[in-house]
Order: sequence, then C-alpha cells, then structure tokens
Amino acid sequence: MFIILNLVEKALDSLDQLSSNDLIQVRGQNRVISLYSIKNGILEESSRNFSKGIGTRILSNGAWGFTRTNITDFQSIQSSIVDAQKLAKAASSYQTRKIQLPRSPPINDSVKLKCQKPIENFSPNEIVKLLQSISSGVSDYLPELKNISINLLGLTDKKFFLSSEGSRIEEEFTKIQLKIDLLLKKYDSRVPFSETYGHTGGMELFDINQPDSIVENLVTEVKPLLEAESCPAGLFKVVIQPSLCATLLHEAIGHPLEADLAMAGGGFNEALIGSTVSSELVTIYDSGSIEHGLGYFTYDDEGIKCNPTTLIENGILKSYMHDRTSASIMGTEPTGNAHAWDFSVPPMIRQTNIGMKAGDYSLEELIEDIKHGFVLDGTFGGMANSNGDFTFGFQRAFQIKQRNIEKVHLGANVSGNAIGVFKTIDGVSNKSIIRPGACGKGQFAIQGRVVPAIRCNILIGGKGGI
Amino acid sequence: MILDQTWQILKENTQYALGQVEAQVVVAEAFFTLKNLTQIQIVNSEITGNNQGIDGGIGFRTIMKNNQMGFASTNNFLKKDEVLKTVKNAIDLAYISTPNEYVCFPESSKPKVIKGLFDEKIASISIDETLNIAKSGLDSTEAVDERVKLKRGELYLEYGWKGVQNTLGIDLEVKSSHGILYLGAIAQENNQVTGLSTEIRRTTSLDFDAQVQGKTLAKKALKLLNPRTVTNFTGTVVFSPHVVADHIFSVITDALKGDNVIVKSSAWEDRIGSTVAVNTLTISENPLLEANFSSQPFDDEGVATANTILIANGELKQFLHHSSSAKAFNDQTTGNASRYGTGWDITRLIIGSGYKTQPIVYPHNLIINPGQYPIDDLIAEVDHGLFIDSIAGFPQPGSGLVSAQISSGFIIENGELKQAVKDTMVVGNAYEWLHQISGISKETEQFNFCNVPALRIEGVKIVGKER
Repeated sequence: MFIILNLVEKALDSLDQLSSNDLIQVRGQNRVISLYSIKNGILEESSRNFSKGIGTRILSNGAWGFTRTNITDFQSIQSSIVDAQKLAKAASSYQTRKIQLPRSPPINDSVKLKCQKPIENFSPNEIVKLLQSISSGVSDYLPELKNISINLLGLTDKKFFLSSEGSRIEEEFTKIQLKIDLLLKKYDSRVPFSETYGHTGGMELFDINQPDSIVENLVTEVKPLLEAESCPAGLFKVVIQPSLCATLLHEAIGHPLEADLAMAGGGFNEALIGSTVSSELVTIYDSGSIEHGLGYFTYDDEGIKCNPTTLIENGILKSYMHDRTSASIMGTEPTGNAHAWDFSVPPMIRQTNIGMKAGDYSLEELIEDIKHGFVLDGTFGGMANSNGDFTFGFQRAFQIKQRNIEKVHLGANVSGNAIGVFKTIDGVSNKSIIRPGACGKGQFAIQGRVVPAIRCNILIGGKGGI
Repeated sequence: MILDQTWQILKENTQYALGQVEAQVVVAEAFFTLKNLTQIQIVNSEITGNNQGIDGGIGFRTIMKNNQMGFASTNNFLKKDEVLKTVKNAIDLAYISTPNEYVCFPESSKPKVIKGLFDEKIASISIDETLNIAKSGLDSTEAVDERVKLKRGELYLEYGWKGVQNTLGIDLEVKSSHGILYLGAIAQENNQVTGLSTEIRRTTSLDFDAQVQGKTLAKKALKLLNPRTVTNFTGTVVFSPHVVADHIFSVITDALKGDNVIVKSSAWEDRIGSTVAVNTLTISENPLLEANFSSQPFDDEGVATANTILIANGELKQFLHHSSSAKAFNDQTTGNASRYGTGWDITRLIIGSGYKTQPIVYPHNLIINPGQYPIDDLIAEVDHGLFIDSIAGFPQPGSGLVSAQISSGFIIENGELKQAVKDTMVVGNAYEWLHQISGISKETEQFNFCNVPALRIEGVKIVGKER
C-alpha cells in the first residue's frame, strides 16, 4: 500500500494542469477477503480474493469527476488523475447548481482498529472445524433440516485518503461476518430461516458468540416454526424485537434521513427540521464510533471524522446524515457519512451504525398492554422508498391474545410509511443490542445497528386468514 | 496503456500461470475479464457524477488429484509473479477442502457466434455524448409536467472482454458491450409526494431514446398521484413484466437450479415430468438471441450455451446445470455456470462478481414465452382487481412466499385502470400462482437475467389498511 501511496503523491506533484482551485481526493485500497463456505457439513468453497486500486475524485468548476483503476503503475495513476479532472470539467457545463465546498481542515492520521484475533492467525483447518461443529450441532437437533449453509467471511482493508487540502489518512481494519441459512421441511411446509453475526474485529466474534450457544439459539428459534401456520394479515399492534427493529430502523428511518434521499422530497424533507416527526419516546442517532459495530470507522471517505450525530431527539427532527456536498447545500456541517464500498466507486451518503436510544419498558411490559397483536422477530431484509414508504420481512410472529403470548406463526412482510408508523410508537424497551446489517443503496455496504425492542402499529402481509 | 494491449497482457499472464501449475494439479482453470466502465449519475435533478474506470482481474480454480478444489482471485494481473501467487493460493486452499467426486471442468466447447454483442459506438463515445444522453433523459422527464422531478438516474456503459482457459483445452474469449439507462422520478402536488417510478432500458448498443424514455417515465409518475387505500380482497391481479422479473423469476430460478436440487432445497426436487404450472406456460433458457443484453456464447466456465426448454406447457422438463451439478445429477450441463447471478446473497455481494467469485448455477436469460394478447386486453377482461407495476420486498425463494408492499399499483374496475393504491400489500405463494395464471401478455421486457411478459393471476390476496 505504501508503494501506491508514494506513487500517487509523486503523480500529484508531477501534474502541472491541476489547479489550486480544484479539490482532489485520492483513495487507495488493498483488500483481502477470505471465505469459508460449508454446505450440509461439507466445505464447499474456500477462497481468497485480493484486490487493490485507487479511486480519484476531483471537484473542478463546481462538478465532480471520478475515475478508478486497478492498474497501479505511475503512468496509469497519472492518467487516472488527469481523466478525473477532465470528467469534472465536462460535467460542469451540464450542472445548473455548482457545488462549492468550504475548506476542510487537514488531518494527518494513521489508525488501526482493534482486532484481537486476526483471521490470518487461524489455520483453515481450525476455521473449517469450527464451522462444521455448528453445522453438525444444528443437524443433530433438527431431523427436518433439508439444507444448512454456513458462510464465514473475513474482510481486511488497508486504505489511504489523500486530499489537496492536506489530509493524509491511513486506516486498517478487519470485519468478520458469519451467515447461517437453514431450510427445513415438514410435510409440504418449507421453512427458511437465517441468522447473521458480525463485527469490526477478528475471530473473537466466536468468544462473544460461542458455537454452542449459536446452535442452541438456532434450534430453539426455528423448531416451533415446523408446526406453525401462516401469519394473519392486517393492521396490528406489534412488539418488534431488536433483530427486526434493526431492519425497521435502517429502512424506515435511516434511509429517509440520508440527506440525498431527504432532498428528494416526501419522507423527512428539509421543512420538517425542528418539527415533531415521531413519538417523543424516539431518539435516533448514527455513529461510526461504536466499537465492534460493523459500521465502525474513524474517518469517512472524504476524510471527515465519524462522530455521533443525533438525527431525531425525543421525536423532533434534528439533523440528516451528510456528506460534504449535501452539507454545503443545506448550509450545515458534514457528519462523516460519506462512504464508498471500495476504491472503485465514489463515496455516497451511507449509514454507519444507526441506533435508537433505549427506553424504560421491559419486554414483558411492552407485551402486557396488548390485547390482540404480535411479537415480530428475525429479519429477512427490507427496502425503503424516498417518500418514507418501507417494507421488510420478519421470520416469525408470536400471537398475543389478552396480554399473553400464544402460538407462533410463520414469517411474512410488514409495510408502512415511516412518519405514520413512528408516530404510533408507544413503548421502547430498556435494552439495546448491536446487530450486523447490510445495504444495497446504489453500491453495497456492511453496517451496524444499535437497537431496542419497540411497540407500534404496522400492516402485516401474512398469508393466513385476514 | 491501450485497453487492447492490456487485454493481451492479461491473457498472456493467465496462460503463463496455468502453464506453470499444470504439473501440480489435475486441472486448473482461469476466468478473466477486462472492462472499461462509464457512469453518469443524476441525483435530485442534477448530474452529480461523471465516472470512468477500468476493472480487470483473474479468478483461478484448481482441482487436485483427490477432487479437492480451491479458488483465488486477483486484480493485480499485470505482474506475472502476482498472477502465479494467486494460482498457488488456489492450490493451498484446495488442499484443505473436502474432496468432492463431482467437481470438474468442461473439456471442450464450440460456442456459436452471436451477432450484435459488441457495438463500437459504446467503446468510442465521447464524454460530452454520454453527458448529453443523461441530460436528455433528465430534461425530457421534467419537461412533461412541472410536478415531475427526476430524483435518480444513471447512464451505465461498459465494454470489454471475458475469457476462459483451462488445462483441458478450453481457450475462449468474447468481446461485448452493454448499456443501461435508468431513470427514476417522483410526482409532487401540494403536500403529496409519490414514491419513485422507474424506466430502465438495457441494450448491447448505443440504442437509447432518452427523450421517449423520460416522457414515458413522467406519465407513469403522474399516475401515482392521489392514491387511495383498498379493502382486503382475494381476486385477479395483472403483474407487469417488472414484477414478474423481480419476484416470480427469483422463485422459479431457485426451484430450477440444479445445485439446489442436489442439496434438496429446490421446491421441485422430485417433480421432473410433473405439472408445475398452467399449460399455457412455457419457460426456456436462451442466451443465444442476437443483440440481446443477456446473451452469452459460452458460460463462465467455458461451456457453449444453448436454448433449453425448462417447462413446456406447464410440465417440468429440465433443471439448469453447470458442469459439476450436471455430473452429480448424471446429466449434461446446460451451460449455466454464472459468476454474475446472485440475487440478494450478502456473502456474494461482499465478495463481488465476475472474476472475484466461483461460478454458481444461474440463468443467463430465462425466457417466459409471451402470450397472444396485449396487456391492455388482459386488463380489459377484469371486472374488479389490480394492475401491479412495481412491488417492494424480497420473495422467500425457499418457500415461494411473496409478501410485498405495492409501490406502484392501480385498481381495475370494469376492465379499466382507475386510481393508484397506497398502504396496500400483495400476498401469496409464487409456486401456487403458477397454477392460477389466466393470461400471458404478448409484450415482453428484457431484464438482467430474463425476458418476461406480464402475467394475469387469479386468487391473489390483497391486504389494505381498510377491513
């Protein structure tokens, strides 16, 4: 990585055509991804991916140009920088609103995020045995299991950020993700189920989540679904458990509070800053500084520190997540939310670790006020629209009748509009947990969520009786 | 460095690396690509990104004498020692893998020549021409009505090469180009703002009419104004090609994948020769169409692709296979090794596609045969139902459950399209829906991995907030 960094610095020095009025940002990256994939106890895939390259973004005449290359000799790096400037100048004549960014103070830093047990210190055989122990553990308890896939993925990034404003930042981190997918069959019923574990750090993930407890949790959660019926449909009072609340928070509130989507109108538009947009029990923030969260970063990909940002405080809209461009348009400060999946794409506004402040309710108290409703748990992922509409899938629903949990139902999807649904929140649990997450807004991202359980009204699209 | 020269070096280094390791392994394979990419991005009525770049790399698979397989990839392909190091990594990983008697690579292949896969215009287009196409899409969308705003847009152009070599004699390459113009708009009136409507054109040439696309989009967005809620009902729904491609395609693909059949996760694992759909439904896999966005002369392990009937008049005839799944199934490969098809698989999305990943079984171009009647005629025969143009949410491929929010849907009354709906979901099982199809449109639309018509389906459950 140092070789590329030096070549980039040399290339920048050699180019006379770069104007002092241009803002130049160059990101370099060296990424190694290791994958171990176990299917029904057999190691189906072990692979290693090596990638490196640079992405150059130049703001010239009020427009951005971006180039990427994985050919990293001096000449190619030089051409890539020159081309980015050409692209910016060409785009400039097509823009009605010129981007003007206030100067950002230079930062010189080198950061290595904590990783107690680097994945490269483990032999492939050790990793395979660990995963096979989970696979066989689940299989032993579930004769109805048709298929179990376990993917362990380790991603190590060494990155640098250089800017013409004088910033020179180096960052190194590892992220580990364990994804387990099950498919069970009993009679004609086919039940899919999945669970994900992940954090910024190394293989200490398995000290926090011991393989035995992973097996026990999976078996306990999925077994009742073999006898379960489809979930009913309609508008219900529900308790949304943290594993699902993570998806709700990301989709329903997180996306509409990303400044680029907020400026699209609809959802939480600019006119609502300072207004009540949610129940007063709701305080929401985004913070890249939460250790172990999958969205743990010291700086974003514009060299801005990832500090916590309060988005909604006691129901009142306080701020959006910003990159430097959106912050400049709205006349505010950037929030460290400009992130790129890798060197090959320009940064865009992304959540890091979005969180909801815990409340005062125990889970029992949230349930005891419900006469007829559901506790929804487990996620199948979701989507959001710029106008605040969202939908996401849950894996199981426990029916509440007369304040007691009765039978469990199979998963389905829920939907709603963020502003409407968040105003119905009338209880927040007293404990938040960190969950892993992922997002496909234009480019991929792995992120964290910090979430309690909540109680609200929501539309369930179940296949059972209406 | 000129791209053609870079491609030659990539091929030479690949050949060199395969030559070096031949003695150590039973068989080795390289999949390699080099692409030039251009993206113009539009956000909130402004061109915000003008991006260009080169992406290339090699993925090696190696099979050892006792049927162990390993994989490694690199994008540092200009250095011979780095390429060789990657093959050695693949060998090291093979040694720890579980022996699998079915892993194999193809031995020979004679792909057909498909016309119209490469357009020189995409390779030689100027920066200003690309910006003009995007700007034309933006301006023509917003010129239709001041209530319409283009919120998301992207012109994506790529051209380059894909190659496959293995030590059994496969040595293939193809040059192709792809273009996508994506436009997404909202309509707003007073305090009302619609969700995003989209129009997408996929092509192998520079064949865009951004003005027509923009106008069509604007009209679509305006129709979503003043929506109303519906009362729950079970009835007739006409699903647009977009919904068929997004949801029904995913469920069908999951059941047709040969690797899923082997691990018993396919819903049709023991259904060959059985009726899985109405007798008007015929589905094939055809990546041999001329100038088609999803055509491929050979798959991602070098097997010549073919036109394969999968479901004929409702009867399941054939599963999709790559070489290894075919061997396990004691069948012939259908040429469906794909390093691009993933769906929403987080692990694959993190790793990336193409040379960065091993092939899986996936369709290149799944074709649902069109019917005889226009979509308008399918709608005209419905007394009370819905036309659904777009839904949000993921189907559950394992179970076939579709439970999704309707992001663009319209009430049908007495054969006519009426108001848009809001706060409404559509629910059902896609495998059951295949038996409830009452109409197939003659119009079809091309998507990334399929070409499909609209489908009219009976007995679909609609859930609204009103009881």
